[in-house]
Amino acid sequence: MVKAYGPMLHRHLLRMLQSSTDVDDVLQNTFVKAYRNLDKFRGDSKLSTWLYRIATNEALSWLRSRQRRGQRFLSEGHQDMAQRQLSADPYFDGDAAQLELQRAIATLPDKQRAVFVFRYFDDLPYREISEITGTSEGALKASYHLAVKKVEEKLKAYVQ
Amino acid sequence: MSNKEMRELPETLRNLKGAGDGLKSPDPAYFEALAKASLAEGQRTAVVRRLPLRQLLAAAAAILLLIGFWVFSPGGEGAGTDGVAVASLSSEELLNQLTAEDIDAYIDDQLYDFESELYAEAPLNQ
Repeated sequence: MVKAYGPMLHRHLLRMLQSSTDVDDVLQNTFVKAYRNLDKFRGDSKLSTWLYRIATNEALSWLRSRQRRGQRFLSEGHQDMAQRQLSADPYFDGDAAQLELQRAIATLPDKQRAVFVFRYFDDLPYREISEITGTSEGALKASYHLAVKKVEEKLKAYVQ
Repeated sequence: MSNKEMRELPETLRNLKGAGDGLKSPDPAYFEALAKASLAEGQRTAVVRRLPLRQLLAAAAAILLLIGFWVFSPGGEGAGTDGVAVASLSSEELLNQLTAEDIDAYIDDQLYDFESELYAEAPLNQ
């Protein structure tokens, strides 16, 4: 399971958390939970959907916990720090534009960031994102379009 | 993503989408190590916090002494009708009155603590 789905989940979590150190912990928590609850997976959905759901919930919990600890370094005032951290991350090898895109994504609220990442990068259908997040397709579409606007505005400011 | 949705994306995002996210995956050794670590953690049984037997017996004796004091103290349930207290049992006598089953039952009641992590992750569609 780790071999088959690990790379997919690692990338998803890195987009969400933007720190490979955090991803290490959250990814292991995800697989431990999946292992312990595998007997409860009834096959109504794809295994990847189930794993995405566990990983996303773990990531959102991790972000909440990080914010509670006062480490919301992704807030507006601390984006430079986040950018430096991501640019130094061993799993980031993008250019300046891609770094700016990640920086813009980091300003989105946590759940909206998950929706944007699922749709923009993973091309997941809204139906599947709905299964993962437990949110209606209509609400997801609205959230995604709003996220696109916000990211675009951030990128425009960067280009100018 | 459909062609229509792709066309509707702002130009900057449309161009960047083709370039990818700039992130890369760890090598296979990372996932092999992750699989081993996750399996070991997943198989770990519930943490049972055990108190040393001596402490449990001491606690049991203390509780019995308190009960004895309450029962046999003046005015208590064990006190004589003339107000003269009946001599209470010593702790050694109280301990001698305990059966092995009593001690086992007490230990069983106190031993276990539940690990919240073991509560099941809610499966899909439930």
